[in-house]
Amino acid sequence: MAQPAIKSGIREDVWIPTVCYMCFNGCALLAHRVNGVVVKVEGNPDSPHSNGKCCAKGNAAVMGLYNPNRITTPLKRTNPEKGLGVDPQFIPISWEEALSVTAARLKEIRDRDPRRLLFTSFDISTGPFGEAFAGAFGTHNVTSGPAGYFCGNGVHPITWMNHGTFYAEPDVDHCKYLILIGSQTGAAVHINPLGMGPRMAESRLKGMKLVVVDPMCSHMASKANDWIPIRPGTDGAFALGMLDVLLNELGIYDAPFIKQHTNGAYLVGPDGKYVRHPETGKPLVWDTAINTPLEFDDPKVIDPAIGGRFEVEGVQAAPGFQLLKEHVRAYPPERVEEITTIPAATIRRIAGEYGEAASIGSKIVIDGVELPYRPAHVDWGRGPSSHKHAMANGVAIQLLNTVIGAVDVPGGHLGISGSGPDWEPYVGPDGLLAPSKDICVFWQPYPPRKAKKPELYEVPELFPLAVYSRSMLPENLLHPERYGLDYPIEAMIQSRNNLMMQAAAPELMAKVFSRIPFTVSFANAVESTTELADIVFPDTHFLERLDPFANPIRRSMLANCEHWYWMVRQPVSDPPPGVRHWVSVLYDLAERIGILPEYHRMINRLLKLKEPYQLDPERTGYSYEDLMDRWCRSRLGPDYSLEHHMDTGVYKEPKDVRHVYQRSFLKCRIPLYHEFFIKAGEDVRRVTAEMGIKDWETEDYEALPNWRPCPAYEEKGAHNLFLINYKVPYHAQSYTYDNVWLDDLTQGYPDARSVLINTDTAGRMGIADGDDVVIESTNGYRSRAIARVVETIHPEVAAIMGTQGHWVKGQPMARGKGVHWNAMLVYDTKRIDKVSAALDACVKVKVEKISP
Amino acid sequence: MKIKVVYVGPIRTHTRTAEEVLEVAAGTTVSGLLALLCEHHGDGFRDSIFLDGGHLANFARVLLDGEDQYEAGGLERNLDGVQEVSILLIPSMAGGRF
Repeated sequence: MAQPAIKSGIREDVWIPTVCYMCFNGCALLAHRVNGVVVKVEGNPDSPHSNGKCCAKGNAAVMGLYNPNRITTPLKRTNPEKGLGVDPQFIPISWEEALSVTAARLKEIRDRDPRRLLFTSFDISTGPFGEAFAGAFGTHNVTSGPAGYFCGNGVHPITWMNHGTFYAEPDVDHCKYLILIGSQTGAAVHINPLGMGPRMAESRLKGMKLVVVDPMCSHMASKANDWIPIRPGTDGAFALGMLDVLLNELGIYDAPFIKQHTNGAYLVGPDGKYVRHPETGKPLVWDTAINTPLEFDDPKVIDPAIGGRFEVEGVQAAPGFQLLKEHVRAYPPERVEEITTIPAATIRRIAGEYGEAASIGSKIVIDGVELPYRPAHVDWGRGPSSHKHAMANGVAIQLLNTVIGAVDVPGGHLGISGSGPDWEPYVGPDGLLAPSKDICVFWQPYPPRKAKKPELYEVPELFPLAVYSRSMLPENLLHPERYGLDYPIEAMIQSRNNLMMQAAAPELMAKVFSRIPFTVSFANAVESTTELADIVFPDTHFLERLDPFANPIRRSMLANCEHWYWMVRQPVSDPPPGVRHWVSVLYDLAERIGILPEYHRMINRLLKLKEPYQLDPERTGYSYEDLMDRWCRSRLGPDYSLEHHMDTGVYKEPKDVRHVYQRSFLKCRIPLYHEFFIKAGEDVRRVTAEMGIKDWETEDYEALPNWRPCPAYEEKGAHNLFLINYKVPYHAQSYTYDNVWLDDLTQGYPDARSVLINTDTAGRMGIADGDDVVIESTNGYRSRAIARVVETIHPEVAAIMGTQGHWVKGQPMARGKGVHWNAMLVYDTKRIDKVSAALDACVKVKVEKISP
Repeated sequence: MKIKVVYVGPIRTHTRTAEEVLEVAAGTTVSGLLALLCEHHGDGFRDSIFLDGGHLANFARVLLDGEDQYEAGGLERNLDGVQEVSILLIPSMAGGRF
């Protein structure tokens, strides 16, 4: 893409395709470099991922590249004391010293017990390399960090079970009625924001009705037909109330879908479990055509019953769907109103509109293929997921899509990449969907894992249905004996995540991570986790990085798109002298530790390298570029070299309608009745009882979800407002707050340093707009803010923006500004969902005016 | 017939060895070999690679001369002619995968 000089004195003037990394969405960029200096980035129109758009974060990326506080040389800690705000007294050291000290320490630990290394990274573009290093080292103690306390615990297990995907998103191109519950899909603060945003806007112009259920009038809610304020932590109750109206008052559901694509016809006995064939063990259904029970997959089944009761195998049995209908009778709109504060009439109205818009029975032809057409569905995000009963919330909401058949069909909720060019979900136990083994690399929720005595520090063994259990890491680092962990964590490698900012209760977390004797951090600047490190390696900025597949397919890929696409993130600027991509440093460490053969074996499998591109386990000295070239050629074809990939910037191949709407083409069913939850709960109860753990709650392991209150819901007294935080389009997680341009934007936003309070509530509390106030959490943490009195927030809720309140000197733009929301949270295992491992983000606060 | 079994990753916690050479009967399948290894290395090994109900976990990979058994014929593929079986236990992180 080189272009001739256009002005006198300009030796170079080029636009280079690359991929953003200001958040994990990885939008396609074009970087403008003049005389070796990156002067501008814009969206790359060649990529379908982001429609040629670039958000404020991407635009501000150059300021991170030229951040004067970047680390450019390895650092060594000289202050043995570690703690929150304690100066590490770093001194610069040579690369050789940093590598040799680190390798020697890690080798010594590995020789003793490799599990003693904790490896943590949120680098999604190079995930396989981190996993390969940890695997080759021999540790299974890996984590992407505490962001998952809240983010997807009640989302990802559900989408893996129902779509075979990490995530699902609205088919807005065909949708006519979309309900977002605690989700800002399409509003530049969610997954695939720049791909979804314009599509959402276009759909709204074409008449799609949008309903947003959220405690505050979020960016998306401000664009909606209906903003429905809801009390935090009650989303599951709202869904159950909607289900009651749909199934019992209106009788709206997609019977053919339930019969053919779910387990809603499977017969369930009095013990809550399937009634099974005595010989094959397969679940039975009642065929109404011949009035007899048959195995669910018997070709003789003509019309399985989804209602009624039947005498089968000596017991009274009912189809799962019948039980669901009866179950949701416990959630009539009047009761749900008391829980959620949403008027019963509103619940009935929304359910009615939703059911009507679903157009059950209608079809559509796309690319010559006739498919069911369900132009209504629900999407949910962090809102329902960041609660004590996150999994139950997610299951209840998903059922709203399941009962109308709006799963992987036009107009419905679409898994992002369930089926692909060379993978697809498979038929798991009892005929239910199991995600492809090539793209589900989390702890998989189905088929469920065995509960067992923990060996790992996140104790995933006690969460057999969760995709991760990161919230348990701090507890176990503090008290490994409680869960029978008989070895300590002696070292931590950390990269591209800030555990301290993203975790609850930073004072406590500082104690947690300070207990680890040897910490290695890869970082651009001295962030709050890096401040606890013993050795710091300077890392490249993303505009200096080479990542051939920067957007992982299972995460950052539009569901309804004509193409599969991969974009290359390539260097558009030289890093400071000596600074290298952290993965190439890992490679050096692997060689020095003596684990290169295992590392190569892991890489071969994780990248699915085919011959002749596989790495020789016994060889050394592969360069980073050689490795990436092998990845490109193996994945995209022998002629598709790294150089070619960098030249084109975006690789595209056609996506078939079968991959967009996979549901109709698969034999596997999705769960309507979550029978396997019961078995998982029994296992967890048995294991925890054997271990002597007395307070491990298992009531949420049930086949049909219930709503239960979060701990904060029942707290009374002076701390009388729920505190939530909300996202803005120009910040992601905590990293962006130290960017000078984004800080400028923040300073210009009147609500950035404020706490939002409802007008009526503020009036009762004697607080006026602009008053200085102090927010105090039930954990004792206090922070000052400015009261912003608004109509657009639920009266029981106070809201603050993002993740602010940085404290380290290495981030001067962010330091000392705003309220640190995570510090307000209560870290306590009693507030952890024992199914999904979500930490309850429901916290009550007291807001008081500061007297002049 | 002799087969070299290589263990890569945290699975070594249960095998206590990086590799071993086993004598197995001709016609032994992948699942037959895994059953043998479970018997040999115990419940910790079994529970590390199998899910509830006996399904091989996504994070446990069995390679036959470098090729994943899923692509090389599956668990019922016999091992005749295979020189090396690698068993990888892959740490699970919210990392990238294409």
